[in-house]
Amino acid sequence: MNLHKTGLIIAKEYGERVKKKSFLIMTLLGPVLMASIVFIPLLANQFNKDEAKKIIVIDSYGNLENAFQKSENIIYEYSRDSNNTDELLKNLSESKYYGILTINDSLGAQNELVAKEQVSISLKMQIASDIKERVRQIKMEKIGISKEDLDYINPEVEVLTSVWKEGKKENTSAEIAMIVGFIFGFVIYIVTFIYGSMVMRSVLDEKMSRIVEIIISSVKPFELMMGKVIGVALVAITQFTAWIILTIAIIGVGQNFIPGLEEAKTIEMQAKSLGATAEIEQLAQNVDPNMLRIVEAVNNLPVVELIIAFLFFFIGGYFLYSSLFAAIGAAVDNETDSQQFIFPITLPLIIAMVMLQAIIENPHGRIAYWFSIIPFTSPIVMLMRIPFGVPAIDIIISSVLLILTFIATIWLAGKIYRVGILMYGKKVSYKELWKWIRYH
Amino acid sequence: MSFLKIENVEKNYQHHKALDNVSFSVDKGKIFGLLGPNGAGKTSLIRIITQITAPDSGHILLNDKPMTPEIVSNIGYLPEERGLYKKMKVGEQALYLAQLKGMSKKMAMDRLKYWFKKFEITGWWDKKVEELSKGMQQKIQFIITVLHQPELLIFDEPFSGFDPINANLLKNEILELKNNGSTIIFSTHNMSSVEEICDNIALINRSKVILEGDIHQIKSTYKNNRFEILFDSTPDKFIIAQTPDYEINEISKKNGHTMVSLSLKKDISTNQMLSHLMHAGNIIQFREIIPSMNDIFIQVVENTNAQLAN
Repeated sequence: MNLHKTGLIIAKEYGERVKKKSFLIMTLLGPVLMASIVFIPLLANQFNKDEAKKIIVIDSYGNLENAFQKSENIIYEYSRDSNNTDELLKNLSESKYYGILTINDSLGAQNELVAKEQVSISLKMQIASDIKERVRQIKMEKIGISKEDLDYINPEVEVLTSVWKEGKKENTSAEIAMIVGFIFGFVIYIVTFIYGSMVMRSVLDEKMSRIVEIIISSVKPFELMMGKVIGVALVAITQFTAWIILTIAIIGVGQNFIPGLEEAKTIEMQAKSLGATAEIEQLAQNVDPNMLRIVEAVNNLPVVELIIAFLFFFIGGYFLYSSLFAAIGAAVDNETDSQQFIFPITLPLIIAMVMLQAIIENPHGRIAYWFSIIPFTSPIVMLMRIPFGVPAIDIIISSVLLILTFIATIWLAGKIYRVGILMYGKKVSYKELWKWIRYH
Repeated sequence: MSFLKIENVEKNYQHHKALDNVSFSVDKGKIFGLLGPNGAGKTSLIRIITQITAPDSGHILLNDKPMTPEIVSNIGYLPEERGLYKKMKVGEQALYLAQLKGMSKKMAMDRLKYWFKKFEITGWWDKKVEELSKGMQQKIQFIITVLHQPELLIFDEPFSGFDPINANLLKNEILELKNNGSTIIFSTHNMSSVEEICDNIALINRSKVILEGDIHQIKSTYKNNRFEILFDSTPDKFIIAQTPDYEINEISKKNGHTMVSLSLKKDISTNQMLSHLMHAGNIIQFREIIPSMNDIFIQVVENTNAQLAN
């Protein structure tokens, strides 16, 4: 391979793509999209907390007073006096009350809520559960079960997960591992598709415009193919680097808007450096324990391992698929004809995505193991598994197999490419491709 | 001196022999016509010479040395099916393609400026290729082909798509390249251009070389002693017919003149013929009918096809 010429091709393929407006737009938009995946649920939660609604409860039976405790959404006002109900109702629109709840039964079986607007289902359910809870308590007391007994019967259950690593517990979160695994796997899937078909279209374009006839008199087909594949790979890597930097920047700015995160991070950091002192335990009391666990779990993610694995498996998967895409581009005469060949080569990618559920549910199971070893699916599936912790030996086997396979596919694709780019007006079949591979 | 030697080249595709024991040589500083009907194997042979594909057997020697990948940078090839990157600017593209041929950026730039000026297309430098007409694109392709001043130039149907003015311009450029010492292989089935510019030819039909050599020699081999004699008035037909030296093919009248076309028998000199015809009338013109390359092409190809059919 003439490295100088291949370098020229790489530079051309790279330069022409990064100068495009669409590249700039995707580079800027990508992290915004990615950050929004993280932030939208968090922010949505914040925005959903509206002002607490004031509801006046008219309970002429007077049994349910303790049922109505103040909560985040509802402030109850309790009244036994039902005489001015009509008055209240008349003035509801102008009053400070959101609604009037009338208890029509001594033990709250029949109630009515008149509100300024159609109430939400969650509000309705909350009121019902508040009443239910109190009524249950009253009934329990009646048959002689105390509140302590009740708590005894209704225990709170929580399962915290952590991993035993190097002789100590490390807090982890299956949920966070799942989200991270999913994001990485999905990005590899999408990007392999996007950049693979970019290579194919570019090859097809050269073939259809017949420029390839001119180029091929000065460079070897393999050099042209590799120049294109590598050039486009560099575009992808440039884009990732920009994405990572921008995403970090956006998350860095965005996290200031999530309440409790900063405090949790400070404590986590101190705990890491100083160990669990009484002082820190004290501080931690003031922090949302869930937030603390999330911060700890994120910090315990194998970040460096993930980024290295991401780049390695992306490049491996990309070379494997893009060389096949290049071969398709060379073999066919137009984009329509390419469909019949695209489907079979992208099938493993699609299968990997379909198996996603099974893999995430059991990241150490047999399905996950084999799909993360088989080179055609390993780039996606291994990335999904890594956040859950994967034995080094699995990664090594998978990497070696991936390297061997992409070398083989590049070689194979080069054979098809070499014949295909100078062949026009022929509908190719698999049989035909097999012949091309065997040409010397 | 032979510059390029093709020795016993064979190339087989599945179910199809593209080249069958093809041998010929191309002299230095000459224009060599590679002729043949469509599908005869011309492009297959050119692709072997330019090392795009390899022969199954046989050799190609350049200056008596086997071809190496480095030699390719000493070849300029204008393929029959040719195109350019449509979205790329003309100058940028020419520069890129020139660098792929191994030229430095600066050298490529200098020479491109020279050629753009020569073809009066300096204003196109920043235009996108898709804005140019087909003829304009051909000019760019021609420049790219010759830019690195290769010793061997291969033009495959160079005139297709050119209007007569540009075709003439191109022909003159090719002749100039020859005068500057380049060796040129010129593949075509446009026979009139062959007669105008080629020194030697090889005719390929059905994967085989069926005719090869100096164009004038070939033409004299294929001439069959046919002559045309023009009389200023009506000659004496009785006298004309009164000899066994020749056979009369046709007598026709034109603008008061009479044209006699005849085939001279072997061993009879033209002087003998003329001294006889002088008695029939006043001769004002006399010429030998030399077959055109077109006639030879058709005759030879049809003969070999007929032989193969038997």
